[in-house]
Amino acid sequence: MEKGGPLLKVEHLTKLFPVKKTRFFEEQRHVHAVEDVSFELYEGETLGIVGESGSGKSTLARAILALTKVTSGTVIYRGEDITDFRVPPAKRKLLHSELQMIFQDPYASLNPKIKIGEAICEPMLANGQARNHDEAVKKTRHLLEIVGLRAECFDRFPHEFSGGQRQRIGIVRALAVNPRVLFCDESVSALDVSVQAQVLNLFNALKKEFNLTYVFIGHDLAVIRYISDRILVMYLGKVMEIARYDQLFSDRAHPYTKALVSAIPEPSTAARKERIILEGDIPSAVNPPEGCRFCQRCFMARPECFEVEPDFYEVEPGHFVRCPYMKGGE
Amino acid sequence: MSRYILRRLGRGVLTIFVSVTLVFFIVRAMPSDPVALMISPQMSQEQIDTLMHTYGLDQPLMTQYFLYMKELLMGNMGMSFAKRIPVGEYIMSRLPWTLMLLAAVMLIVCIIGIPIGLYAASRKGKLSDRIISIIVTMGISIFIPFMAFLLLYIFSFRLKILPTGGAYTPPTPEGFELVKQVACHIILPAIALSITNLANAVLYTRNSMIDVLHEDYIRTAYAKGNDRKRVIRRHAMKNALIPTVTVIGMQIGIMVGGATITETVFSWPGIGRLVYDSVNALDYPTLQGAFLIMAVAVVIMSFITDLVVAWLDPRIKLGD
Amino acid sequence: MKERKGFLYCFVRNRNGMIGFIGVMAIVLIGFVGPMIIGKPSGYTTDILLPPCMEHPLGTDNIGLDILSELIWGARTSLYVSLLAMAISGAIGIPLGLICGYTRGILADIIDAAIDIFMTLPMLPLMIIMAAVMGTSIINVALILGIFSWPQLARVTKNSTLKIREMQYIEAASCLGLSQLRILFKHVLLNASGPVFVNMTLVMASAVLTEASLSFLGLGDPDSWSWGTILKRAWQQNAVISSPNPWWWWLMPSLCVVVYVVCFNLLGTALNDCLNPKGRE
Repeated sequence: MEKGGPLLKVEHLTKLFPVKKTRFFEEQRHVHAVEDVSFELYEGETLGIVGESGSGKSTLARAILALTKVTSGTVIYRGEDITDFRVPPAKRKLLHSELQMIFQDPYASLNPKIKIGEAICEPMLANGQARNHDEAVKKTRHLLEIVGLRAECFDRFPHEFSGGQRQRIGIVRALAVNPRVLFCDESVSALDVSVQAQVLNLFNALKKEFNLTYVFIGHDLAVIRYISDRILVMYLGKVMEIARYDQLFSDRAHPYTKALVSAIPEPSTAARKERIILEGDIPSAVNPPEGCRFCQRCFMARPECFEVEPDFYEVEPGHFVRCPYMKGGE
Repeated sequence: MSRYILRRLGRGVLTIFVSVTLVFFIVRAMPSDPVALMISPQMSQEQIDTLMHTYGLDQPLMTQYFLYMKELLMGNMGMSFAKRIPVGEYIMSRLPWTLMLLAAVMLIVCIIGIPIGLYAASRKGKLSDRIISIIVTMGISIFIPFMAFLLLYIFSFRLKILPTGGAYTPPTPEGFELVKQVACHIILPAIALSITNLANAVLYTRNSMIDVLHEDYIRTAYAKGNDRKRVIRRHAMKNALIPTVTVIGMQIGIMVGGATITETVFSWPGIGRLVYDSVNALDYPTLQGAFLIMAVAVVIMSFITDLVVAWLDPRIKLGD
Repeated sequence: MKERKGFLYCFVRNRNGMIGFIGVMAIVLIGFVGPMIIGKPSGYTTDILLPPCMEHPLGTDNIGLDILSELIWGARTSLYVSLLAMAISGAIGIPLGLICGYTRGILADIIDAAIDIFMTLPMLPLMIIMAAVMGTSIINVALILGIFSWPQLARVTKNSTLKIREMQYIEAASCLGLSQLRILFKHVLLNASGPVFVNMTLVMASAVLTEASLSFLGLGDPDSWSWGTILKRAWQQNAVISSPNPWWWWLMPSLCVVVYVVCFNLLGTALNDCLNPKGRE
């Protein structure tokens, strides 16, 4: 890998799900879950991905981690093509440990019939992060303490823990295999707001301690803004905008982003800026609109928007927007 | 045509094909040779060879199989080894008896089982429901010879009001006398055979009726001012009967051949008894034919069941 | 541990379940210990068709054998056959059900179709033919019962697997790089074990029912005692309708079969009620 290059590079990634046919002679239709998504991830940064439910954020993460088969496009990690993890088995073990995911629902992501300790040790032994059982146990106890859980948790079942504790267990399980990049899929959305803050702080602390790179997926822009260096906005399977966290508030942001930003609650008594209310629901991903994906709900839409799919424009250094009207003066 | 019906048709044909093939090869693996039973010491080797050739037993197994399938497609099931008559004819002489028995069972299950199930549901948790539940548990676990013995002991031996077996008392009576005799003879086997089905029907009707009565639309129906009778008749009953119909349909299909024990105990001349007799007589072609009939019966019954369920359940549309 | 305590509590309080459990334990005890105390019934005696008395608590049959000792030895056969049948159907049905429920593709479709077809075939006649073909040893009978009762076990396993497959912890396991085999046979199976276990008790019940039916038709092992064989001999001697009626001869073995099946069914139903959280309310 050349120095300074991206750690992970996603190029034109597309994932279509076939729609189940009801008639025999019927044209096969697809759900366009993720379409032509490209981005780069640099070592040590936190990339936030926001979008409404159904915008394809989770599918994107699953496609990168080879949990679902990619329809087209490539995923490059440290300069090597790792799409669908089609690599030699030894290399695949390494990938399974270096790219990890923290799941959304802390209640569903732990196997109810397996004790915490075993759940954490098992992948370590399978991927060769620990040579024997004793080593794995030792490491697990150490990690449990780092995330603020007592070592006695080792012999307990998941249902004995609260949501926040379970999410910490999930984090330990991922950390145990020495990951480089951690994908956090809505990892705090299922938690109470007070617990959310604790877990977010834990994420920040762990990042420093273990030199992690994060991809943080969520629907709540307030949370994503808090933790991310750069933010990627998705709508209906497409990237609408990629921006540094401060650029998101510029006038040149995508209209969709503006609407999202205006919905963040502000803890101030000053007269708040006007809230942009979006009309209608997110359209069906089976028949995405022609032209701009956002045209049907955009408050700035012009007739052309309904016909031509807009390109990606770099409106500021490092700030890309899929909207021709944000291009600026030239 | 819809994919659903195509799939069902495909499954049906496959079921028949698999059972015919399976039975063909299982039967060929039988340890003793049927020709050996027909051979008498006086026969010359030549005669034996001719006999083997007549039944096609001198061909390789796969050739026999393909020949059999070819003949089957043309509607020819071969000759019975034991009776020396065409298998089709032999089976057809037995089939009406089995169908008659099944009709009687159906009648018992529908007339007695469904009302009891509905009654138990309406008395859920009360003493009568609990008693019914216990009887149903016993009924599902019933051992058919036990039931048959008990019936024979009580009605034929102690009370001497019903005959012990057969379909009529030989010599074959005629006209109305035949009908009367068959009606008398069918009672015990029909009761013995229907116990398990009856228990199943009661159980499924009760449970699904209880489930249905908890649905929101039943509460809505009450809220609209309907009385209990009308709610049950017009809103609950149709939906509650869907699982019952499915179970009865499947059971009846399987029973075409599954009545072996009952038919054996009561010497009822049906298909089940035919299987038992043919196994003892090493009558390959008849066994194969009987299985074909059973598989066809199962497939037809499951089609009919689907149609009835579709008629009961407006959410299922067979058309698309 | 909380969950397990809840299960035990529920099970102990379930009256039918306890009846079934005690019954099953009694049968197991009689089946294993009984034959050690009471000698194998054999030979001819002159005490023909004696009604129940002090010496023969359940009477004797037409060749003077003690019915009670016949029944005890029959219990051993029934247990042996049904355990073996359960093990065989588990060995076939559970892996097939897991694969069918977990994978998508042609193999799953084939297994699914096979389950469907075998569920609809008339099993008893097929088993009768198989028993005639394979010869009547007790191992063969158990083998046939196992081979033909796998489909329902496979279906139950498949249905629970289908639900479990969509759970996040399965995706998490595969994200953590665990092998698919390990996920399937450890993570999925652990969670599917409840309904599978319940179904296995039901398989044991129906195995005894079928074994008794086969031996009643004369397709059982002639060398080992089975309730069905006793019944067959009683039937052949017209015991049910002959006068004076040796009712103990045909009634006792039938009752044994029914009690065995009822106990296993009660146990299975109670286990199901307790493992299924909906039923716990």
